[in-house]
Amino acid sequence: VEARTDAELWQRGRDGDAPAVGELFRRHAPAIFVFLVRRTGDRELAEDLTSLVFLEAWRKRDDVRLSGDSALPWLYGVALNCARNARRSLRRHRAALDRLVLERPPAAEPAGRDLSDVIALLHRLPDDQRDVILACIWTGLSYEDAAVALGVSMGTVRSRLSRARARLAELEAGSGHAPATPPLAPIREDIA
Amino acid sequence: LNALPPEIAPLDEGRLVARQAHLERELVRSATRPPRRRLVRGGIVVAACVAAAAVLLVGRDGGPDALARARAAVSRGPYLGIVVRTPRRGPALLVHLDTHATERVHYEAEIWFDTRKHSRAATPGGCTRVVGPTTRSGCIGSTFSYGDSTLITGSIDHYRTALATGRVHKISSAIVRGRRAWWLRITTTAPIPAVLRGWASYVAVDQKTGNPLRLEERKDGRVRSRQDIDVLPGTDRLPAYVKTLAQLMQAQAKLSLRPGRRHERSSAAVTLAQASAGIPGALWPGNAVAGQRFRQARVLTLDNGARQLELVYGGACPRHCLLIKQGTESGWAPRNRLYSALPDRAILVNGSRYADGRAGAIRIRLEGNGRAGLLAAARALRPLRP
Repeated sequence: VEARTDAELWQRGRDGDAPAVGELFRRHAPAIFVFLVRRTGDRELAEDLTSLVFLEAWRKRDDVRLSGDSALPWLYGVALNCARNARRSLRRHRAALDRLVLERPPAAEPAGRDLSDVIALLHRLPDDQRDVILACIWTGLSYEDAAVALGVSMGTVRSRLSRARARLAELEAGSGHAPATPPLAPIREDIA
Repeated sequence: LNALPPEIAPLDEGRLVARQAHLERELVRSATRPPRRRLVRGGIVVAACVAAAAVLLVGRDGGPDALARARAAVSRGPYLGIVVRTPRRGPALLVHLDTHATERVHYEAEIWFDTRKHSRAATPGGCTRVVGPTTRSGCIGSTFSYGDSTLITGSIDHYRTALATGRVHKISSAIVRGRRAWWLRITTTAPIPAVLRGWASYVAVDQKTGNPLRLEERKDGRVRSRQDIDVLPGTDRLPAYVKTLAQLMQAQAKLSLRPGRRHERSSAAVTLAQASAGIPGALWPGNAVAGQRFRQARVLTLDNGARQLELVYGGACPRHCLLIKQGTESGWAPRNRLYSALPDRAILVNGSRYADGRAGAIRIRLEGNGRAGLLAAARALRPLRP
């Protein structure tokens, strides 16, 4: 049986076929989850945001037509928006999340020092530079796909990447390991 | 930074499946919702404001009354009984071995309190039942271990004290289980350990009677566990089947003379043919299950002489392996009554660590490290015929 492309699944989803969107979720949720953990540094939040990415995508279904073979670059873009506006996204879909009763996730492994250090370092970059590092280097998107994910031109991707690398080199050279503010603390407090 | 993006452990398969199912349900729900236009939204906002104002006005009048009513409802006595139910659409699934069909089951626990004392009257002397279309009636245990809340189910006194000391706040009104209810939020004055920050307890109480209807534990506003509660009619004496704490202690003292757990005396690796001959009626899920390959069969001899077959799948135990233990009744603790409530040839999967079931005279326990793996193994079990 030939697997359906993302574009076909999305089109079916737009026509009301929920399992088609479910299949799209199954296909891309693992990658989106890893992407969001790297972006947020919080597995539990990343898990919720992974669900929200698809709910948000569905909410905007009338405005989106997939052009390429893979929906992943576009989904990365939605994921970035969800992570940037986590507070608003969680509020918007709170009712839906409340209907999801899951066992409490297993206790997280203590975050490896490398992971927290690297994420802390990354969070010292401006948002646009952090996102381009996440998309191009950690996620391995091509410039073209990163442009789709970030919603900018390929030229902008290149220039931001160049600036981000230079800034990181400065931070590392200057032993720039002053602890960054935990990025999610204000969000959590606000939600509570 | 360029060379080493942080390694992230993937999302657990069972959680992925649950979230996929949730997404599909939400899409169907939103697709069937009538389209909203801006004007309608504006109208809804105005209506919501009016309703909120009305609720505030009503709340100002009914607030202290609501809390007093809630307190009175759990203070009558001298004995107060409650029945606690886990959600009917919760995580517990019964897998039938012959058809591979699954059915949802839930747990019910009857708990009794002595309202004159600061502790439970009957801890843990209530009765826990597993309830589903094919399960058998009868208590499977006397402790209620679902969830981790100590409010109401753990100690009614915590709840009463919170109501009496102003630590309960009325949040909103809602229809809960078909009844008009107030949602109450319980705060604590104790220092909160870091791991519990963001957690809060919410109780829905019947506006008319004050009886608690539902208890929810939420983290950062999200519901993480939910239990429905029914308050039984007050009584002057405990039902005969409920033991007081003193009676329980006496019973425990007698029981301690009997072996509670069976201990392994020796174990020996065996071939599948030897395993099949040694434990007639044994089951197995094949050479591989849930991505884990069959590694070893062992026969354990227990301290009472009973024998158990243990099949090992996957890597190093306990984190990366799946264990399937099976044997006759004498190999299990005498007080384990779960098996008597399960239908024949069925496995109960509840949680991500253990699953239990029986097939004729054989009792089966699966131990794994993920719900998806346990479900896959339960569905694949078939007679062991090497």
